[in-house]
Amino acid sequence: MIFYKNNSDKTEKPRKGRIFLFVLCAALIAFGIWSAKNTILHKKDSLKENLSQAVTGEEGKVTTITKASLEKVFEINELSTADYIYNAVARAYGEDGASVKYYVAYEGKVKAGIDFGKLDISIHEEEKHITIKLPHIEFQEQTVDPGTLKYIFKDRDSQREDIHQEAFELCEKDLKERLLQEKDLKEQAKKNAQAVVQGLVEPWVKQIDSAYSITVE
Amino acid sequence: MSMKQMITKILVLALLCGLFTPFWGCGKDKTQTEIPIETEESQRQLKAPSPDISQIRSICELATLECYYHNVAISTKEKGQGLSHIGEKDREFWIEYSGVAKLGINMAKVSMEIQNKDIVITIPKAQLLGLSDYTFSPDSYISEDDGINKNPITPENQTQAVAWAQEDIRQQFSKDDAMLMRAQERAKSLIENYIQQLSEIWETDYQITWVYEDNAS
Repeated sequence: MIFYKNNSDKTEKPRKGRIFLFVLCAALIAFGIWSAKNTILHKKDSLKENLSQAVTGEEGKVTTITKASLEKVFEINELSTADYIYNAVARAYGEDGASVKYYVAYEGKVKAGIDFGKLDISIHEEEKHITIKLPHIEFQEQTVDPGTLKYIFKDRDSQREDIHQEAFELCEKDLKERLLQEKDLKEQAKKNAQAVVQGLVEPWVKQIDSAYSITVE
Repeated sequence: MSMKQMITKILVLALLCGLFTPFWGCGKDKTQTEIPIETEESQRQLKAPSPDISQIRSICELATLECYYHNVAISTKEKGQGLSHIGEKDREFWIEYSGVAKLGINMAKVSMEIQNKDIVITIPKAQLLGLSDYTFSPDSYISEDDGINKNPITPENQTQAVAWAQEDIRQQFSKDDAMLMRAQERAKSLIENYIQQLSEIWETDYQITWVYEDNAS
């Protein structure tokens, strides 16, 4: 009995081991096949995706040029004006209003330009056209340097020591009156303002969409 | 081949299949995602147009300040010497005239280097680029009274006086550091605005480094 029992244990053990190994192998093979299939499927999808991307490409970035984006550009206020040299001669007239008592030459400076806040911007999207209308040129500052006055006297009685203050006021008045009629300076200031407005808008707008045209008037 | 050896081989094969196939698949997948598509950020950088030197040069042209000036040429004709000039006196005479001076950056000396988001712009100092022809103002000529003996101021004297005054204006603009600095700042502001707009549109944070070149070099 004892011998039989021993014999039966020896044949039962390898059989159980083989079954266990077989199941393990089958499980590993199944796992391997499943993984391989998954990888192939994934690769296939990825390939399909890449192919589709290559054929259809990708939508370009949509950039819209808006009035707000253009207005924001004009926050750089220091570019709106420029300084101009204005040296001139003022005339002091006698009581008759025709005869000149003396001439006084002065050195002046004028700050002229536009108010960027008054720009009229319109975008015509269909025509791809931007129109920017400039406001009138404004003389924002005009100064006479009191230390630069020089005189030519025609009436000797005018040649007084206290003439300086009177002459300085005359020069300030003269500069103001001249600027009211000054066309060349206004024209030049407008050209400079046009160039700055164009410089603030045109380079980047053209780079985003070269079809756009810009008029600054 | 014994059963045990066969089982061991199958086991090893299954192990290899099961273990390496998924990793091989993952490995391939990883390299695929790394290659061209990369991140959204880098894709944006690839597509975003970078600042263009030709645009920067055209900005410099637009930044050129056409500076109208009004000036007074102040000259003195000294009394002559010799018998025929007895009784003459020195005579001061003034002539009012106006013109246009061009102040700006020499475009040819502007350069730019871009490395990713870093932009190095080399810019020369602003300089006087030229003076236009001048025009005389109405009633532009004023002179001191003559002495007993005439000391006439000839047209040649007047032309010479204005030529000297023009040279003085040239020197004045060439040496007016404040005005030249403003002209350079004007160009810089316009360039910075251009790059800023591109930065905002393409969501790329460009960093500008300015290098100032001496005009003499």
